[in-house]
Amino acid sequence: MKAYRKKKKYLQTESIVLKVYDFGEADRIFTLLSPSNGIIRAVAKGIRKPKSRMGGHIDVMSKVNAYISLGDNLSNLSQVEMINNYSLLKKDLSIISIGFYLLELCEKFSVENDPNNDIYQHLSFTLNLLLSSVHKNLIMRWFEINLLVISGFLPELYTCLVSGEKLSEGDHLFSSVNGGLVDKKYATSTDNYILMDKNSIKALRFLSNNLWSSVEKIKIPNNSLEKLRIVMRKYIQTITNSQINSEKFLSKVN
Amino acid sequence: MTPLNNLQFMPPALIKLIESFRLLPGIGPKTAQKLAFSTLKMSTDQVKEISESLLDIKTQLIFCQICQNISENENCNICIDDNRDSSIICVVEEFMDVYVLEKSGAFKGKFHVLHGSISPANGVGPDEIRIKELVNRVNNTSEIKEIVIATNLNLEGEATAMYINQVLSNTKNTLAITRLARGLPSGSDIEYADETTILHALGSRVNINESI
Repeated sequence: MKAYRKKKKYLQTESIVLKVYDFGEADRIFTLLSPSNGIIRAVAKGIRKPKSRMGGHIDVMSKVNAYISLGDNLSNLSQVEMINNYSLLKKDLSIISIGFYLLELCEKFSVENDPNNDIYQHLSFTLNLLLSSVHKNLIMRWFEINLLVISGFLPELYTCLVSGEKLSEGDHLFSSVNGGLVDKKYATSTDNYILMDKNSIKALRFLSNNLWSSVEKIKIPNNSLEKLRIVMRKYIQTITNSQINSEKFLSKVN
Repeated sequence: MTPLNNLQFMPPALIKLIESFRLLPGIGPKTAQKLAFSTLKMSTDQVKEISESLLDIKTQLIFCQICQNISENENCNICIDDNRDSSIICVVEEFMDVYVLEKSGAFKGKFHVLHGSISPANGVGPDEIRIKELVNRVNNTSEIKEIVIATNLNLEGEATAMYINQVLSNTKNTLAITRLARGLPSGSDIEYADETTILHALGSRVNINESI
């Protein structure tokens, strides 16, 4: 990878800004998600000064065209051009909190210098969806499940993880450690299961198999969506081996 | 921090000083060395004064109980100044922002320092900054009529402003909550302005007779 970097010193790429933090006196380090290079961390020099020409073109949760000079340790953001600021999203605190959550999930599931166009397109599509759809909880659950599908972490939903038998219709247990459903009769006392009713299991299967155009037409009861939220939170925490920081803020403002 | 190279010939005390300077923001290895050599050339009294000042900011400065700004006393000079307007509170992210606003001389009210902004991705939520202290202050002081939110103009700053607005509107509905105007910086050319700034500058336009 280092050899690749040395060969190609400059990069122009469309990207979505996932995270930013202050660096030095007037600089900021941006974490960008690009379709061609995965996560890119780049420093924007002097961007905190009012007269910086870049300042107004880039912020968290905005789609930009970035011109980056790649470095061995830290890349340099030399130019940036705003493509979409998602300014309508940023007028509602509740939607902002959802946006922060989606961005953090994408950061957790992406790797530096590893192209992943699917995650990028999934995030881009979902941010636009937040503007147009009122089913915010459903969007979040659909986003999480499909992020797992794209990343290869989709839990096993049709076969019992212990016995290997096809699961019958009914309530089953979700094991976040093993990544899928377990028939109640094979449950062991050592695993920390979450009981899922048959409607929640059906909803999870449907969300994992369908595009948003189909998902938005169905009605999932609130108790099933809440169950999916609990299952997804536990499962994502297990596979990323970390807490999702923005979740606390999300639950505080929604 | 990258290790210091080729300093084996230096006395350990000097290396330690160089490494200490490097802890400061914006100080690289070269500048740290320059500062260390300059310190070496100073008189003992001057060095003693610097080291005492450094210690004093940690031992003598506390947070003002009212506005959370740094202060030598329980209440800072701004909070106990009767000539200032107590009915208007300007909410800022960091104490350095207080000095920038003070330097302008345009604000005669009082301040509240949040010590950060809401940044969920970095694990900073409303409970990690001093919003609770602001709400208590507003609830316990009847003379407060307006809150000017002067958080930074980025998504974190906006989220903080919206959250404060939400919380304060629920607790005291007679309160006026305002936000600093955003637009073109003084001395800049419109030619180089970005779309977001132009959008906000147009949205915040004022009558020519009202502009300062």
